[in-house]
Amino acid sequence: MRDTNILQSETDSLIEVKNLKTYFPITSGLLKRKVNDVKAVDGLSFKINRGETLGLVGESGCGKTVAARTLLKIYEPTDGEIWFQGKNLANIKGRELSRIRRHMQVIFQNPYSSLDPRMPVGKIIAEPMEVHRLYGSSKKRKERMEEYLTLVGLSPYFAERFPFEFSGGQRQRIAIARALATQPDFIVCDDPISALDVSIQAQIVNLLQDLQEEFGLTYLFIAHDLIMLRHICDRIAIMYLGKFVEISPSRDIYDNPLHPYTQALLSAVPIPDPKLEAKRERIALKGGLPDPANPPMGCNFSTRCPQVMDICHEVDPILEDRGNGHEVACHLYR
Amino acid sequence: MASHLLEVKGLETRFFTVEGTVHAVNGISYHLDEGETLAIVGESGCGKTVGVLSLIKLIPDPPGKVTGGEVIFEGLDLTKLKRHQLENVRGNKIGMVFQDPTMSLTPVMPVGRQIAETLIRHKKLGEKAAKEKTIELMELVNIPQAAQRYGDYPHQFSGGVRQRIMIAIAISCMPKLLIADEPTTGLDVTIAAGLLDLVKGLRETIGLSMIWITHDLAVVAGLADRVIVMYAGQIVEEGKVTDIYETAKHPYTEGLLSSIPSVDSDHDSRLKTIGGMPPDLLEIPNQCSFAPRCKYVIDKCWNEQPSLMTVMAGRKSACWLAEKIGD
Repeated sequence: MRDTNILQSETDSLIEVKNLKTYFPITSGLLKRKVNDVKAVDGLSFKINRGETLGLVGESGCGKTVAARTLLKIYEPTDGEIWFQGKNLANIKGRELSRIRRHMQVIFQNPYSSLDPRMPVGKIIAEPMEVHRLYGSSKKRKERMEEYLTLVGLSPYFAERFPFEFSGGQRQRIAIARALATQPDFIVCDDPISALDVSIQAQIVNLLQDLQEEFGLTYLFIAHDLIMLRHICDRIAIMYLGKFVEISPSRDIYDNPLHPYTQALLSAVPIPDPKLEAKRERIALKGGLPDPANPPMGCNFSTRCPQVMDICHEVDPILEDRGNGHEVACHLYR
Repeated sequence: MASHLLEVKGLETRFFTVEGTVHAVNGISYHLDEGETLAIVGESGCGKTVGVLSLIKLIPDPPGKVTGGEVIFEGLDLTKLKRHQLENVRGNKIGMVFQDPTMSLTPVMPVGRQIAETLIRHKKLGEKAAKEKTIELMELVNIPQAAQRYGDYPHQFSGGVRQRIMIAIAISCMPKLLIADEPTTGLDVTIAAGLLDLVKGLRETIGLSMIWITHDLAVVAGLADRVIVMYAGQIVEEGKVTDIYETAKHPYTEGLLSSIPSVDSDHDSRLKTIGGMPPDLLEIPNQCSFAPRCKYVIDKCWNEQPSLMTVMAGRKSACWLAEKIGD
């Protein structure tokens, strides 16, 4: 058991991100000269506390997956700091990075493409343990693999089978067992339920919550389903064009959404109750997401905002706390 | 008795595969009135898509075959029609929108042309008239700069706009019936909301009747007049949308509705789940197909298959305990 006893800083935050930026260069011409950047993640700062679930919402293309993958150093950050277990991940690489990666895992959206079709399930789960040389011997690893299969509600007897023999929900359980295999502290759940049927979604959500309680896991949970997110998350961050526009305890964000984008997003969510649904009033947004290579002047949302003011076209608002940890980046509240 | 726009009686679809016969749809009966929206809900593999594709014989044959039942549409039995007769119904009197617009549009033809094609085939319009009508349709489904975008290809549009193009094709001949198979799945909430608003608007302006297939119970709540719940190729419950969401009369519907978090659901509460798995459709034993997963199961459920029975006015359930459930 190496480096598991690294002391946490005085605060109880597990991960702290400061001004994180991930740009993808756009090149042109024979010499591949850089002409511009796609600003996928453009200055995020946030903390996730130990044992907490932070939800991340936004439309396709807003940069939420890139943000999560940059945290895991799948993408190299262009600028900023990612503090995890006393180290700034933005600066480390090689062996030091792979050692720390053991403590952070990911569950992907589509369990049909995230599991190797030619690998038996037992090997899929044992592989991360082999990579990190955990538990001494392959015999012990096999025992652990069987424990993890049982833990996610599958029989150890399934270890010899291949992914195609399982349903979507079962595959997602296998992906969860694989994520748990290295005993991580932090798991990125990148929309793990949207590809599943309603009743299976509930099973996976319950499983993730049970595991969080048992192992004290910390989740970054990306999803489209805002009602489900409210159920799962302690806090929710709303992302628009590479930036957080609002971040707040989840109850607050539904009862009292502050940012006009959050209000529009919430008003688009259908309610599974015909009577409430009939009363829902939708705020329709005009136009689409601006080009992240050429974001608008001032506030990113100014081109679509129903409450836009002059200042919005000039000054980019920063996230500010409006009380009870409810932060919003909007000139309306200044 | 007033006649229905569509009446399905005992529809049965089988797939004959090397592993055996898959009983995909097992004698379903329902009707749809003019101007009505009917939602068919159920989980993957419950037969909801095959059930509606069978209406207009769009299932691959072989291995699939509609093996029984009648589909009466405007007084005509569609199952008895010859291929060329059916072709005059599909896309003309019955429009369809599928789940994935990327798969259902051809990538090598401008979208305007793909819409016009339907008009030329069914309405016998000339090239010029078809183009004019197409641009009108593109405007009707809120595609900005319709005239300029007539010649663009599907990849030049976003997923939401592509789905609008699919809708334009489906309604191009002003059909009586629109069948939509999960058209909002995979779209962003805001885009999906826009699409639903569009469809609701069209329902008013051109008087569409709709069959809407989905597993999203929240979408159903705001869209449908009536709901059919399917399980293992059968209808297990049918009723008005407000009634069903108020009290389910079948344990499966009850399970589905309680597995989604409610609007005021608490962070600490657990979601209810339905244990077990849907049955293998290779053989249909003489028992309630939901019995192995049902928490109310009694002896009778293992020995006799319940049929869809009227519980109260406008409400049907295929459960021996229907009267007691939800009370």
